[in-house]
Amino acid sequence: MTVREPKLPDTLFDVVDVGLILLDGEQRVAGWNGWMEHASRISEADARGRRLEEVFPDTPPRLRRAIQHALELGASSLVTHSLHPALFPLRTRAGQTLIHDISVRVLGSRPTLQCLLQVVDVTVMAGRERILRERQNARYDAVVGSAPDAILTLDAEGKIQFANPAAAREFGYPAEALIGQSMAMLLNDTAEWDKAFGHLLVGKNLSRPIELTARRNNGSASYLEASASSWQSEGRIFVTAILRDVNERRRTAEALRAG
Amino acid sequence: MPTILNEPQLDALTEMVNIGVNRAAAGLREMVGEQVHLSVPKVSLVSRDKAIATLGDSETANLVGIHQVFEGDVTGRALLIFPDTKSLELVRAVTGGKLPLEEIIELEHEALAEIGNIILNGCLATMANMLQRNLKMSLPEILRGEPAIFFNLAPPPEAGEVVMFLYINFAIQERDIRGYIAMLMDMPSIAALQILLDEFIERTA
Repeated sequence: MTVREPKLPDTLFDVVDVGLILLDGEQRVAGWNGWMEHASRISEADARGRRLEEVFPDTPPRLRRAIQHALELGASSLVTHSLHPALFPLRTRAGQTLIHDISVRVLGSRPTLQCLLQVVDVTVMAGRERILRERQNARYDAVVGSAPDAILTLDAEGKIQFANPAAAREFGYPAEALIGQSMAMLLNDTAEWDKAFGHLLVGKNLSRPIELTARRNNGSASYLEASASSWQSEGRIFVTAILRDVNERRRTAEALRAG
Repeated sequence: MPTILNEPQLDALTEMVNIGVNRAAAGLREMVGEQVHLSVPKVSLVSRDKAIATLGDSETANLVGIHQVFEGDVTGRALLIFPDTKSLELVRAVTGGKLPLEEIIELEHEALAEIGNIILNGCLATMANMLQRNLKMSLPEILRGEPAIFFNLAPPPEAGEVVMFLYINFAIQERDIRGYIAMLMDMPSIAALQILLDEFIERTA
């Protein structure tokens, strides 16, 4: 029986702005379009007939498994740059690292199954995200990173999603150790906070700061004045609290009273 | 709703799905470099309304789902669904917990699509393999919203719809995340599934 490859006009295969790699049932390259030639600097003639991991020795296991699943089970997979920073060693025409996502699908029917990889350039999108993030981080670092007050961002479940350096100092934990913990871990008495948090989640902001007693990592108590507001991202609510250390103020007030 | 699948059929299905999610866990473990445990303690067949009500009972109203269509002898939609408050945790756990919040929010969409893809493919592909059938599965797509939107996707099924409802536990990096896998199938597909399950039971008996 002759194995027929799906008919695709060569020109179409070569002019699309997406990388196309066709693999046969043995996972050997049966098609390698113009886009791939440019991005990989590997010609079709050099790629054809070789197994993908011979062409790209650093192919991540996830992609190999996805190809295997497509050929054996008919599964389509999406392999993204979000979880795999380096998939293939590809470059843009200008020589920059080409950031890409790959979709893996099966083509044809048994016994002549083939696997099509579509490589999509997301460099521009990822670059825009990076620039925005850097700009945001710079703003963040200038304000939040160097703020003398502890700043925490919590998700709707009250789990800490962000803690600034001052929060780490205030509570005596490394900032990473605070992530994922609940606010309750840091407080001696949660009643006041729970009430405020409930209001914040339904969009009511605090009319005035509330007083909280925190429990530091070393067991000591610390008096804090908290102001907080809620914000949304993709329909999800977050609460950011600014916690001012008022121990000094209390001591002064007590000393004045005593004197 | 009357049980459409009998007990041996449900047992066989539960076993298959657990083998499937274990495979997915192995794939995730390879990516994360950490232990990942996935288990499906319970499989039940429910009506669409019951499925919506079950999801509505959980603590949060907003859900995030990864959707894939499967086609073959058995045709339908598969959804992996989490409360959306858990989705950041999941992405944080899979990306190693080192990234700042903003970065995780940005990655969330694609990362979830891929994580869901691994889990749903693991489930569906293992089922297809054990039932000795071919299934074609589409690429993953992310949906967000209230429970009802996950079960009212266009086009509506032609002949009555049943939801196969799986509870899935996800343990990764000391985090415990509970979610659901829902497979929406119409009556002809359920009937086809029953036949395939009986064949499977006969082969393995």
